[in-house]
Amino acid sequence: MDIVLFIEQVLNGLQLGVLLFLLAAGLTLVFGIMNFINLAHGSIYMIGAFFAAYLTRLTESFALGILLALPAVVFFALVLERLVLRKFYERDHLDQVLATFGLILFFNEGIRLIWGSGGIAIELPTYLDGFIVLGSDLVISTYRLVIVCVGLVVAISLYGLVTYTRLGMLIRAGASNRRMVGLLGVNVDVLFAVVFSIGAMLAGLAGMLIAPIGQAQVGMGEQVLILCFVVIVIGGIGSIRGAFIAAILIGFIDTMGRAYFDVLLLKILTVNAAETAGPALSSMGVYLLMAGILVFRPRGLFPAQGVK
Amino acid sequence: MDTAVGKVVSISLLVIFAVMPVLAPLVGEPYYVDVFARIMLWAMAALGLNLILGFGGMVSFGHAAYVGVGAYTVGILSHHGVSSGFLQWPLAIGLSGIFAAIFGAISLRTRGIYFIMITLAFSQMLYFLAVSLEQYGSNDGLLVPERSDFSIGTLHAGIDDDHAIYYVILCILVLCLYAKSRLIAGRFGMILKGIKSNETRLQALGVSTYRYRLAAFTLSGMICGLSGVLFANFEGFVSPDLMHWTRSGEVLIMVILGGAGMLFGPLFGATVFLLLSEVLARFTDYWNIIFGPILILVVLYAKGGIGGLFRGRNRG
Amino acid sequence: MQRVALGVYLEAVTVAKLLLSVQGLTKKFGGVKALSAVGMDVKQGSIHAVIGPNGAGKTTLINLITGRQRADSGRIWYCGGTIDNLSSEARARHGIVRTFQITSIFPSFSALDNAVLAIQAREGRNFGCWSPVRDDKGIQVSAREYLVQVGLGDHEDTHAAHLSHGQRRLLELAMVLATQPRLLILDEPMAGLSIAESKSMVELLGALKCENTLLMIEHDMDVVFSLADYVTVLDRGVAIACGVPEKIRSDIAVQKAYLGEVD
Repeated sequence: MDIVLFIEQVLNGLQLGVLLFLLAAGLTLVFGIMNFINLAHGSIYMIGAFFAAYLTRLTESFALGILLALPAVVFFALVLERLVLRKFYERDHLDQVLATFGLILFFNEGIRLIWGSGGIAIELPTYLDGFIVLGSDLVISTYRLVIVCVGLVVAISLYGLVTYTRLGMLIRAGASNRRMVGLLGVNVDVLFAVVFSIGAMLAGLAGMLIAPIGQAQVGMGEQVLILCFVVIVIGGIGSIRGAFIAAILIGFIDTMGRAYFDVLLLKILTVNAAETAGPALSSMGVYLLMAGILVFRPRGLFPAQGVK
Repeated sequence: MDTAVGKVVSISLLVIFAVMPVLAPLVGEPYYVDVFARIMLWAMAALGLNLILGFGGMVSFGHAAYVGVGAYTVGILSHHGVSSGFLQWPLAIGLSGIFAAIFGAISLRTRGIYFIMITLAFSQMLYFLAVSLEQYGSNDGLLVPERSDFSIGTLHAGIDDDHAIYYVILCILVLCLYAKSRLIAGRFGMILKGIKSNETRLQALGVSTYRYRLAAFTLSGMICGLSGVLFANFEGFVSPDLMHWTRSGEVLIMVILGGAGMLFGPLFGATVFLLLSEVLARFTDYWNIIFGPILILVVLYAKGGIGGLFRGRNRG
Repeated sequence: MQRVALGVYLEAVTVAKLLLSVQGLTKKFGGVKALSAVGMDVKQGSIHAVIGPNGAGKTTLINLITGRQRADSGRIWYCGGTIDNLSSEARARHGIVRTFQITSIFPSFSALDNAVLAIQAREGRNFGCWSPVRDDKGIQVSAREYLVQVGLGDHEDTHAAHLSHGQRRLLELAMVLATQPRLLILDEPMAGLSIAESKSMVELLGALKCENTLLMIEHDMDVVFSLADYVTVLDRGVAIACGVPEKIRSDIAVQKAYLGEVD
């Protein structure tokens, strides 16, 4: 096996994993504490990417673009929460799904109207556009490393926040017993808004990180959203730890599957069959994994106690 | 449709569908025949979903997948020169049923939010499967060279004529509606409605609800498969787009828009959904920017859907 | 040889007299012991009441018997066999059917259809798709009889959600009866009933006694002592007394744990 290729794939897997985690963390928190399923979470990811791309072009600085885009996304999310989402917290999941589906249609079209269907591509600043040379063959893109590091830092801080702070305690309490938090005299409205903005900020951040390498595109949120569902279903809804482990797992399996699955199949199948079955099976890999896990653990690997 | 008004409206709607192929060219809009055919096709898929959503309370967000399985089975068989409808149709419907049974068996072990997400993920899996099938066109889709052939020996029978396929679709839709009205009034239907109303009570009375939910899920997948069979025949083309998760969302919207748990609901829902998008699309290319908020408002303020307008008062 | 014969003989006696027997039933929730080694025998054709202060584990006991929850240890014998491995649905099909503390009916159905569904549950073969249940004379007539039996004969077309609280309790009882249970378990049948309603409920339950075996949790001591043949007293998860009502009334431990509190 080519060791250089392998290390590159590991990094790819890790990159996909942390991006999925940034998105899934918000989704799982919002669901865990508010019992609210938000399909428009992917739209926030997309809007994060567009804000960052637009502001980067405007200010001609990627760093400044991100610094401005982050609060902009949070502000946007708060307005969204207050104007629309809040009305659906008490509704059943079906209503929430339909309403946030409506939001997706609205946002996709809105972005298309403002920025056109071509999307916005931005370039990496030179200080991020380099490579780190390790050994003779092994060259790693700096930005890739930056994404992974940002993701890991966020994961660790979020874990710290949830485990060691008062806010985190409330979040955990909310995920396992929603009513009790209200009875403790906590302003639930504020708590919801805070949790929602944290989730939105992370989703927006994920979009911003992707913008320079994948460009900001209409509809980019939906593809990744469903993978996020797989992540939080496997990890157990409401669990940050579960989301992290599942995100990394999915990131690896998806990447490795695409890279190595047909090689593996070649050992047991004919060339023709392997070339046919390889892409098909590797694109279904994560879903098969999910099915397998659910057969044995219908509530995921780390279910929070009170989530129904 | 419990009330007399509801019945009259439902029947008139079917009459409009029946005369459309004659009416549309007269008013100079022959294109509307296709629109109405598509309405019926989606209405059939919505009818399948309504069986488990409206009557059994299971929110599946992945039913477009079974439409896709039905359509692709016909497409692939036809691609390989197998055009006999006697082979295509049972195989397509059977395969949709098998997929629905397998996915259902796993999904139905979960509840609520998990169920929604898992059905969504499974349908996405089939979507990617279709995308990865390079020999069948990947993203670009697959042409269906000829419509299903129902000839027996020398007796020639087919649905090649455009009017023929329109009326075949209409007849099958009416048959489905009738069969479903029997089903929901029968023993199985009672159990299904009981599951939606109070599953714990039903279990405490000794009913193992899982098998009934699974049976309903499978049947509903087969109805969607049938709709897919007709899709492939009508459009002469199948593509992964048919299984895209937004399609599943649209079918869900049709059910809710029409009024979940009502026999004619899906027909109303599909009619309003597709006509509305047709009309909005004439005003602006960006019609979703209007449709999205409409959807939100409907969910907020008109949960009973269109069928709810005709519903008797004491049916909650 | 003799031993085997004796065993068979004893078993025959058991089968004839005991419908339900639980032994050493223990259930923990987290660190809290809800039940510890509870034993209880319910005789065929009797009314057996379970009493005890709040949190004594009465509902847990019922949940274990009906299979809603699983015991950590202990065994449940029913009709001479053990049912520990049966699902709650299977136990219900074998005739262990319950009402709930919070009335559980099908609110979107008419009263009659509630009873119809219960009969369907008993009969099985529920995959029928073609003939409307409305046209099935047999099931409709029999459902109506159960409604009449509990005094809801005039309400068959009423939407269950629109019935009064007392009527819903009666409807739930009618449904349970429609499954033709061998062991009817009632979780606080009198809760929330008006004086007139409880009076007719007592009459109704008394009338059931000839044909059914009843196991009930009840707080109303007058009801317990007027209806029950046997009483088991639970206190903090332990069965502290068991016997005929007169014996329980005079039992000092019981008075301390329970009756004393009330008086």
